[in-house]
Amino acid sequence: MLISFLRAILLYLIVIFAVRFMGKRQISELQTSELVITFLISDIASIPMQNTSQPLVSGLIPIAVLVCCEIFVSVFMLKSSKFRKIICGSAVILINDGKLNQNELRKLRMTVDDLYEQLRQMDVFSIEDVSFAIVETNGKLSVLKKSEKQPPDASTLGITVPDAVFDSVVISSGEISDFSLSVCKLNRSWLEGVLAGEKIDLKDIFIMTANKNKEFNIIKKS
Amino acid sequence: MKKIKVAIFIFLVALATGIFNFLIVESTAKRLESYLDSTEKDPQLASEMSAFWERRSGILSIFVHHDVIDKITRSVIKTKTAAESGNDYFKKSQISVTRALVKTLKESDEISLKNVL
Repeated sequence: MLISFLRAILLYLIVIFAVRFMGKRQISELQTSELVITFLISDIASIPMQNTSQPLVSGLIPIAVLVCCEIFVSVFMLKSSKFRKIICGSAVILINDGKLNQNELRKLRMTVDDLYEQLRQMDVFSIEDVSFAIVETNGKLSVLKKSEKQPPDASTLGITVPDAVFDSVVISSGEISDFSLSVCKLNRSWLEGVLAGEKIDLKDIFIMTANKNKEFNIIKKS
Repeated sequence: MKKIKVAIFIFLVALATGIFNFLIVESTAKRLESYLDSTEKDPQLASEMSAFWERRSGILSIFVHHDVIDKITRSVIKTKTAAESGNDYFKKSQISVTRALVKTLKESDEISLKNVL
């Protein structure tokens, strides 16, 4: 039992490392090869975890080889578009200027209901409102609405809007995030000044957010 | 670029581990087979074989399924006991059992089309 416990921890750490090593894309949008690797790694890791008479190496070696293959494949895909096309396929135009390409829909084995469902999720309720709808290589649908159906933006209306600012968490549970401070172009001395001005101790702060306009919001620990 | 270098390193380590596994199984099997041949003539060598297997089984357990190692360990001990008892029939039958198990161990790691498929 203790061996299973230790193996589980070890394999957990190795799989975490493997997925992180493969890159951020692995944990968000999966390409075909990445999806296959993720399935395989999770399956391979579980075998030596459950069966203690199976050597741990017999699980580690395939994981290492799969991760390396994935890295090599992604590097080759960067270097060769043909190779990328073979592994990932290519994007497919489903709707062009409001007209549905039925052949492509059939090839994708996608029903009209599936297409409408995805369009509705993107606030499109009629195919005629779509200028372009493309099925990306990861299976997601990208939609460009016709210009007359798109909400006007500031440049269309000819108005000037102030620069967008976003709040960043600079203190979380009493810990200062230097990264967030640098994102907001602020520094520790500014933060110390604010805390002194507000007469609040760092350890009493639950969350403090700030933006580059030096506007801040403090939530105290309850 | 750093990532690809690390990937190449990990790949080579995995390959080296595979090759080491193959070599250690091959050499162990060969040594055991030669010990079994000699034990048929000289029963004294059975204890030497048992000591050799005890040493090697530790390393092999990193690569080979533990059930296979356990089976061979039991068979080697029985061979040693049979050789020491002086019962020729028991000794010969036990040697052939051990030889069959060693052959299985060797064949399971052979780089052959049969194993790959």
